[in-house]
Formats: sequence, structure tokens, C-alpha cells
Amino acid sequence: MADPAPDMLLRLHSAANVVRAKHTDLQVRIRRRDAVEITRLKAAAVSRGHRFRDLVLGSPARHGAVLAGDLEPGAVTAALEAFGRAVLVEMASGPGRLRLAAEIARQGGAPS
Amino acid sequence: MSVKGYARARGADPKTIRRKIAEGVIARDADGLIDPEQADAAWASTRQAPRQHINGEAGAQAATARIAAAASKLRLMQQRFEQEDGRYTDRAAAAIVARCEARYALDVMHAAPDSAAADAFARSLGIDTGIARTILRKFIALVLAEVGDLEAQAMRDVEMA
Repeated sequence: MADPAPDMLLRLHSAANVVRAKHTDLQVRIRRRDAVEITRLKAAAVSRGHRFRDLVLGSPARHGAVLAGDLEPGAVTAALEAFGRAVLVEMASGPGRLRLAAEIARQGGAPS
Repeated sequence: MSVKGYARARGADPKTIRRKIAEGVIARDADGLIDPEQADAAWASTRQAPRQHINGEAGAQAATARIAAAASKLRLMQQRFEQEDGRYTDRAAAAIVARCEARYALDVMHAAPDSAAADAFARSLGIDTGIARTILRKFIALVLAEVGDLEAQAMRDVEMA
């Protein structure tokens, strides 16, 4: 029977070369900035989300009195705060968000 | 056996046999001949797997060990690559997602004055729904002016990440 060892070793070495090539390809993509670290993206997205949230929740205090008109400013500010929180909750839990993002990414282009 | 004879019998280079003699691994008798049994015991058993068919069980064991080592090394390489690859995503795709999420947030904000939250706002103040929506549209406009260009911010964040 033919000795399988040389073939097996050759296959293993070939497979190792494939992995090395994939690793090199990844390094090239990183250096060209075609690939981005997911943790950095998440950190930026969280920071952006917190900024947005803080603006929404802080706006009633800044604008409630002006928007109240003839209404009681304190009541309008409180109502605007509750409204802002409800909008943020809807935004964070909306099922359309991730679905739309996935769809756009699959299409490979931005929505019109 | 002569050096050449032993080398031929074992499928080896005569230079290798002479080197092993110089290293003291293979001995030569007074006539300069090699005792094949001594040479096999001292050297042939440690030879590489490709000569398995000559060296029998020792060569087979060496071949198995080399295959196992190569397979383990490959598994480790694959594991390390998968771990590193999993840390990254395509930047262009991330930009699309970020832009999409920004537009979604803006869409929710623009639609908010006509949402159920707007009805709750009207009820809490005891005012007409139309008046409530007018107040809320102004409120949303002020908030969005403060937020600025959310899409541009998202794209910048992706570019800078």
C-alpha cells in the first residue's frame, strides 16, 4: 500500500498556506483601512447615541418655557421630557432599525 | 557494509552517512565498514517519515508524529486567524449601516409629532391634539437643529474608527 504520510503532510502544509494567505489578506485590508475593528465602531456608535439621547432629554429644559406659550411652562417641560423619553424608547426598540440596516447592507448601497 | 552500500540500502545520501560517522553516531569497524545493525539502531530510527518504507515501525511513528504536529499547528493557525478575522468588519458596509441608522433615527424624530406619544403629550396637558402637534413639531425642529447632521456624524465616526 502506498505510504499516505507524504500526501497527508502535503495537504496539511497546503491548508496552512491557505490560512497564511487569508491572514495576509486581512492585514492588507486593515492597512488599506478597508477593514475596521468592530469594537471601535461600537464605541463610536454608543458615544453618538449617548450624545443624541442627552440632547433629546435636555432639550425640554432649554425650550419648554418658550414652547409653552400660554400653557404652564413646568407642565409643558415635564410633558416634553416624557415625550422625548417615549420617542427614544421607540427608536431603540424599533424592529425596523436593524432590518433596514441589514437590507441596505445586502443591497450594497444607501437608500434613496 | 561500505558507506556507499549502506547509504544505498537505506535510501540515504552517502554524505549524510559520512556526517553521522564524523558525529560519532554511526561506527565503523577496523576495515572501515559499517555494521548495519549498529547504524540502524543508532541513526536510522530517527530518520524522517519519508523514508518510512525503509525504516519500518520507527519511520511510521515518526510520520504519525509529524502529521499530528502539522495538524495541531494548522488547527491553532485557523483558530488564531478566525479570532482575529472576527474582530473586523468591512468599513464600507459599516458606513452603510451607520448612515441607515442615522436616517432611521431622523425618521422616527420627524414622525414623532404624529405618533402615540404625541397623543399622550396632549392628554397630559389637557390640550387639543392639533395644538399638541404644533408644539411638538417646533420641539422636534429645535432638537434636530441642536443634533446637527447626524448622518455626517455617523459617517465621520466610521471613517475615524
